[in-house]
Amino acid sequence: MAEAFEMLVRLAEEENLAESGDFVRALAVLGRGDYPPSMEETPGPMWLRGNAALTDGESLAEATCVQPLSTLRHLVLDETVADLMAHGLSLAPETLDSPSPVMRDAIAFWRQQPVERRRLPFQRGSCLGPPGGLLWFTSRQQFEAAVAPEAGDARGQRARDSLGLDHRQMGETLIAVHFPQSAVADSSARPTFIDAATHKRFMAWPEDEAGQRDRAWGRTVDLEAFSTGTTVIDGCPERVAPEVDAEKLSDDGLFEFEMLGTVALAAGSGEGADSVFATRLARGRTVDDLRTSLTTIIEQGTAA
Amino acid sequence: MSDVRAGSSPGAPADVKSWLSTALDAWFEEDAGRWAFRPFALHIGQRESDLARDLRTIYAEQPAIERARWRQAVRDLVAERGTSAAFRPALEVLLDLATLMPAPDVLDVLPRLVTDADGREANRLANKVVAAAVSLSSPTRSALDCLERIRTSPLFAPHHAGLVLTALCEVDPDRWANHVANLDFAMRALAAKHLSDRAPLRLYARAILRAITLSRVTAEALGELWNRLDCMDAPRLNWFFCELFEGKSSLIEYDHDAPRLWMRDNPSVCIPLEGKLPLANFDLKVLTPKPLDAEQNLRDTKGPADAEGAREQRVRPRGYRGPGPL
Repeated sequence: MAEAFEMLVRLAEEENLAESGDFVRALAVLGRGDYPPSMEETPGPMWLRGNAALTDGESLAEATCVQPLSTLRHLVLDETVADLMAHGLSLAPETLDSPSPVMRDAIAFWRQQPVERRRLPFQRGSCLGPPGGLLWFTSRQQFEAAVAPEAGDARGQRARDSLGLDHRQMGETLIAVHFPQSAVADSSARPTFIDAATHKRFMAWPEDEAGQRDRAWGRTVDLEAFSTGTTVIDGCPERVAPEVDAEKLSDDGLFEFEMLGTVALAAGSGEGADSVFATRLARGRTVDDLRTSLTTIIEQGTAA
Repeated sequence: MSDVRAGSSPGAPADVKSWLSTALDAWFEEDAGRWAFRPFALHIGQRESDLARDLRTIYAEQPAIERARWRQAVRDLVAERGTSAAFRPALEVLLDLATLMPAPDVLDVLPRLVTDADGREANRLANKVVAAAVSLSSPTRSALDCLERIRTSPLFAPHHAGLVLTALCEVDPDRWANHVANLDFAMRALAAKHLSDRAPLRLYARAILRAITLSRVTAEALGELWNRLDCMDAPRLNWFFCELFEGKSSLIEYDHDAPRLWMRDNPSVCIPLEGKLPLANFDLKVLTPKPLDAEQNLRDTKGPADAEGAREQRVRPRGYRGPGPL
């Protein structure tokens, strides 16, 4: 922790950072270790990793990550892109408006296709998650339980809300990619605030006591529950892993994608929502309390 | 990149085109990562697939006058460097950025990309260009020109046909028959190469009908389409005719006696079929036989149980298996 703060200060001096938003964005630099070339003697990626591993049973289960539809272009073969275009999906990045009528129908078409039709070949050399960055995933079982009550396009909205994806905006169409958890069993960890960096709806610890006992998984913020002021806003379990080579994700070179739907509401992202969320996270603690806690942590780290 | 415009938003580059061009070169050729995009480096992630989205976020935070400069810069960069093979990865980012902004001015320069492109990556680029053109299209002359030039370019492929045809009909609904005729062959190729059933054709037909509305499905337009198709059984073999009129799940129903058309899923949308069909042997009754006539005829020969199935058979040519190459 102490090293993290030292690097944050060095980076702030190097890049003349002054605004609080820049300091938060700088966490991503620490997490990925991609400092400016002008900085010397920099450490590698800085993960404050939770040390709880997945159980054997969990390693045999399936994981799910949710991505924008346009991500498919980077995962699949060009021939598959052609096939998807023939079936009405242009795979252009979303324009933050609602999809065109032909896209809407195509999304509905793909949502109804059987699983064997939705198993697509990976592009050689592709990976799930950004190179050098983090792949965020959840348990498929719990994800499906979260989105199951919804039908049709509403599954996209529920996926966004239950996974706390507040950066996914209205008009974006979401897909789920399912893969065996064994592919990330050894490399994954419980996420920390450094991993979250600029993500605005991250909780280090769930609100629910039962969730707090689960050391291996973090909890997303359920944006719908947050926006309606529900008592507990815990969403799905979540872990992070470095990007995973596509070859490790299946034996047959195919992966299963699921068409979810288009985000219709920016739940949990309205005016003043950041302040409400910060107050909720503080749980009655003042800025001075937080400063004291951080100072203690840094001093303990330095002494160690 | 340290050249900063005074008096505009803090840190805004004075020459957006030059800044963006240099930054993209540094990202792709020098592996400079996010630091290529100073003073916005901390807004940029590490993933190439997110680069356009990150740039769009920066763009959205600029004042209006600056945003106009950004759009112009993207358009000019695509025009000036778009056909260079070395610039292609950066071009793909710019096309995504243009789509996200959106920057419809880029439509003017898109067709050149697929006209001049060659090499192994050309087809991939064509997919990107088509996706951007379709996404940026609106009822304007430049959108129509762009789509038409893409349609006639050497890299236009069957899998582009449905998206481009739908966009053409949205941009220029009055000439829908012309567009359907122009893309008749490409749509057959699309069906033959990529489709295992007709559901995607129904999807395109519904989108086109929504764009042109029932009021444009006139006798004149239907006649024009039929005249443009180059086989004796043209209406039966054109996919759009079939989706509109064929069988009991057609999008449109036809009243033989009135005559008038209405939407099957919304009968309140009903219009008279005005005008005279131009050719004597063009008859919607062939495609949509009056149910009583057909059933009576079948009862006379086979009995009532076969009436519905045989009706389907009657409106399809022998051996018909959906749209495809003749």
